[in-house]
Amino acid sequence: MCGIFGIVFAERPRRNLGEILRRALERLEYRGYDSAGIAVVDRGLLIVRKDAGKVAEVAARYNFDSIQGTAGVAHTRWATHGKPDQSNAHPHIDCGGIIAVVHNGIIENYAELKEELLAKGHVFRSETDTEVIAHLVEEYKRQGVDTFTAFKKAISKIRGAYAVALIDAENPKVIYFARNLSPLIIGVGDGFNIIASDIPTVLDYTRRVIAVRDGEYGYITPTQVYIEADGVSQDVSSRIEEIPWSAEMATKGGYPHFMLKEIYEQPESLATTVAGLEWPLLETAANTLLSARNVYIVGAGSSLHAGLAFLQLLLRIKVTPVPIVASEYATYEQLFDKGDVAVAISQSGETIDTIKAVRTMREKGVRVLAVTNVVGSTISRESDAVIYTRAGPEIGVAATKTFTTQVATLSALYVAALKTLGYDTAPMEREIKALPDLVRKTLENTAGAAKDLAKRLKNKPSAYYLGRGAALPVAMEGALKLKEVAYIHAEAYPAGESKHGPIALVEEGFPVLFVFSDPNTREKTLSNVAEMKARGAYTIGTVPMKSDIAKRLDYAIEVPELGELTAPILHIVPLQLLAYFTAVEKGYDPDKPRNLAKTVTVE
Amino acid sequence: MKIAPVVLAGGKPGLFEKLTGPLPKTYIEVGGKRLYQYVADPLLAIFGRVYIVSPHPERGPYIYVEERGQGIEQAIAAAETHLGAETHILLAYGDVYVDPSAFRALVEGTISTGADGAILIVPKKATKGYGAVETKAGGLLARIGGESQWIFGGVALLPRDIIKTILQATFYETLNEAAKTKKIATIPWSGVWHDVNYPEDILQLLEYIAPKHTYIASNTKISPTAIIEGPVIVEEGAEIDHYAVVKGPAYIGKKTFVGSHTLIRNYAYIEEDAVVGSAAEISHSLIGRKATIGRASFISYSIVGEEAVLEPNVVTMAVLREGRERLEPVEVRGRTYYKLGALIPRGARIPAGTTLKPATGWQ
Repeated sequence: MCGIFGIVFAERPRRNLGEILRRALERLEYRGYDSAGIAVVDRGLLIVRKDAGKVAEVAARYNFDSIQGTAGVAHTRWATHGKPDQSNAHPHIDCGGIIAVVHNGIIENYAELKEELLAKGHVFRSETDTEVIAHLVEEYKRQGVDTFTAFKKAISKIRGAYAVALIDAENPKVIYFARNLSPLIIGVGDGFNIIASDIPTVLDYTRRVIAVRDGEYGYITPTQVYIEADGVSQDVSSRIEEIPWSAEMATKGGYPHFMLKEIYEQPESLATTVAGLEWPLLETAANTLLSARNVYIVGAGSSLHAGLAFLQLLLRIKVTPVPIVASEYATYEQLFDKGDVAVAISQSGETIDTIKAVRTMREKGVRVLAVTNVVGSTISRESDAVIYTRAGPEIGVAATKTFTTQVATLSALYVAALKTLGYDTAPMEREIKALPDLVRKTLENTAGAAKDLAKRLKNKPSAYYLGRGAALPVAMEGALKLKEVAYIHAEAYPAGESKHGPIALVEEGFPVLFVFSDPNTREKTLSNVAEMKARGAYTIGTVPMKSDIAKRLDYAIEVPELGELTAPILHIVPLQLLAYFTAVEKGYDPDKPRNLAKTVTVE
Repeated sequence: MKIAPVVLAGGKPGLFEKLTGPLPKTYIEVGGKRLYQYVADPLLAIFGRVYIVSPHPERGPYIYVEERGQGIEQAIAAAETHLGAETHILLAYGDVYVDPSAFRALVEGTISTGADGAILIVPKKATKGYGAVETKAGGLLARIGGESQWIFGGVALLPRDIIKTILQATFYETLNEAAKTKKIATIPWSGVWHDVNYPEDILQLLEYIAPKHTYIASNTKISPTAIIEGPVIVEEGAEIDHYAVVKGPAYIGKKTFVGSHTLIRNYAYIEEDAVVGSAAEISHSLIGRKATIGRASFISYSIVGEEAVLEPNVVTMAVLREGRERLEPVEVRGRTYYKLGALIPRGARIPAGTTLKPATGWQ
C-alpha cells in the first residue's frame, strides 16, 4: 500500500503548492510511512524532493512548504520493492528528468520491462518497479508521439495492480493517471483538479469526486477531466459524485476503527502474502534450518507468539528450536555459536529487543533469517536472509493482520521444509492457498458470537485462555489481544498446567476460554473443561464447526476449519474480534491502547 | 452519484400496538421525537432533504411519501416514483437506531471501492438464513441468506435500476440478483446499532439517545428548591415543583409537571403533557404523552403508554433474577436483561397500591 496525490492549477495557487502537497501526504500517511516525496512543475521545470522518513520529517528537511508551482504529484510509501531510502522513494523520474511518476501497487512484469529499457540505454536510479513507467513513457515520447499517447502505450505494457499519476514538465498543466485494482479518486475543483488514493484527502479541497474504475486511464488539467477505457473516451460529467460532508467528518475508509478494518482486511493481506511466497527462497531457508546445530526463534509480543506456533510445527520434523523472548536473549548468549540458525520475527523490523538479540547472535556467528513486514527495516538489513510478510501497513496498535500473515509465512516455511525432506506437500499447499477464503468464512461465521460474548465479558476483571499443543500459542495471542485493547487481565496457560496453581482463582462465573485448534489435544483439553466447569467457571471455546465439543461448553464459537496447518490462523480471528468488540463495548478506543506503542524501539 | 435518502417508517405496529395503537411502531415518541426521526434527522443534516415512507404523513421538515401496500418492497417502490434525477437511494429502516457516521461510512465505502452500491452489515449471533450476509472476494456481497453472523444492518445505498425491479421479487431476492451482476460492497459496522423490534428494545434505546448536555427552555417553571443535576433536558412549559430532584441523564418534555419530592433519575423520559405526582421515583423508563403517575409510585425499567393513568402507590418490580452476589441476566427474545419492569398499554388504568411483578405485560 502507498498513498498518491496529484493536483493541477491554472496558475500558482495562493497557498504554496508544496504546502498543499504536504498536507495531502499527512492525510495519506496511514497508507504508508517509510518514505515521502513530491514532484512539482513550475515554469517548465521539474522539481523533485524525496527521502526516506515520515512525511513531517521529509517535508521539514526539504522545506516542502516553500516550493511553488502549478502542478504537482506526491507520494507516501510502504515499500514492496527496494528498501526505503532516497533513491527508492517516489516520485521516480526518467533519464531526462522531465517526467515524474508516483505509483501505488505492484508491477508484476517490471523485471522484463526494465531489461528491455536497459538494453535501449535507459539509466535506472532505483530498485523499484515504479521507475519503469517513467522510462517507458520517455521511450515512447522519443519515438515521436505526444505524452498522452506515450502514457497510454506504457500503461498497456504493464501488468499488475496499480494507481499511477504522472507529470511531464513539457506539458506543465496536465497530470496523467491510470488505475487497475488500486484505489484512485478524482476531485473536481473550480480552477483545479485532483487525483488521490482516497476520498478524505480530496475533501480538503472539493466535495465533487469521481471514482476511477479498474482499467481506466486519462488525464486531468485545471479545467478538464478526461477518462478513457480500452481506447474509448468515457462520459465524465455523469459520474461526478457530490460528497455531502467535509474532510473532518470523513471516516477510516468506511470502518469505525483501524483495528476492525485490519481484522477485516486479513483475507486480502493473506492473499497477497500467499501470492508473494517465494518458494525457492523458502526451500533454501528450510534447508539451513534442517542442517543447523541449534535453531532459535526470537521475537516479542505477537511476533513471539507467531514464532511459538512455528515451533510447534518444527517439533514434528524433529527440529527442536529454542524459543527466546527477545528481551531475554542475554540468558541464552552462551548457547550462540557458528552453525546455529535463528528465526527473528518482527512486524516492523525495528523492535529494539529483537534487533539487539539479532546483533549479538550474528557477532557469535549465528545465521539469522528475518521475518518482517517492512522492507529495508533494520532487522531486514542486518539479517542473512529475509522473508517478507506482505500485510501492508498496520495502524491499529494491536497486531492482527500482521500476526496471521506471519503465521501463514512461517507455515509455508514448514511446508518447504517438509518438501525438502521428500514429503508430499500438495495438500498442505492447497490448504495455505485456501487461507484467504477460509479467513473470510471465519469472519462471517464468528463475528456475531464474538460481539455477543464481548457483552458477557465486559464486566469481568480477568480471564484464562487455555490450550494444549499447537493451540497454546493461539491462546497466548488471544489473551494478549484482550489485555491490550480491552484492559481485561487475561492470562494464557497450557490447559494441563492450569490445575497446578491458576485454578485456585476460579470461582463462580470466572471466564475460562479454551482454544480447540489442535486436533491432537482436543480430548485432553475437554477434561480440563470439565475440571473448570466443576468449579463454576464460565467455559468458552473456539471449536471446530460441526464437532460435538460445543455442547460441553457454556459458550462456543464455531470456526470453519480445513486442516491442522491453518487452524491456528482461523482460531485467532474470533479472538481478535472478541478483544475488539469488548474494547468497543467498554467504550475504549481499540486503535490507541493506553501505555502502548506500535513499535517498541526502546529497551 | 446523486443520493436520495429514504426512511422506511411504515409497517404494522405488531407488539407496539399497545403503545402506538394503529400507527407504525416507528411512531413511538421518545425524548420528544418519534423513533423514525432519529434516523431521518441526521440524514436531513447530511443531504438536506429526506423522504419518509409511511401511511401517516405529518407536518415536519421531511418529504412524506404515502405508503401504498404491504411490505418493504411496496414502500421502496412508492418512494422510487417520487424521485427526480437521483441515481441512488440511501435506504434506512426507520426502526433501526444507528450512529450517523454509519451513513457516511456507507457512501464513502461505496465510492472508494468503486462499487455500484453497498449495504451496512452488523455482527449478530445465530442468524442462519434470514438477513445473514455472505460475502465474496473483496468484501462484496455474495448473497443474503445462507450462513453468516454478519447480518444486513437496515441501511443500504442502492442504484436506482436495482430499485426499479423491486416489485418483481422480495427485497433480499432483488439484492441477491443484483449481487450477481453488480458490485455491492458490504460495510461492517461495529458502532452503535440498535434494532427496535419489540417494545422492550426501547429501554436500551433510552441509553443511546440520552441527553449529553443540559438544556433548560426559557419558559419553564422550576421551583427554587428543585435540584437539577447532570445532563438533563427540560422543555418549554415544564413545571418542576419544590424539592423535586432530577438527576440526569433525563428528559422532561413540554408542559409536563413533576411533583414535589419526586426523584427523576437516570434514563427517565417524561413526554409532553405527562404528570408525575409528588414523592414518586422514576428511573430508566419512558412515561408517554399525557400519562399520569400517581403520588408515591415507583417506576423503573418500564414503559407507560400515552394517556395511561397510574393511581397512587403503584410499584413496578424490575429485578428479574436475583443471583447470589450480583444480578443475573435473563434472555428475552435474543437480548439479555438484568432488569425489566412493566409495559403499561396506552390508556390503561392501574389501581392504587398495585405492585406489578417483573416483566409484566411485554409478551
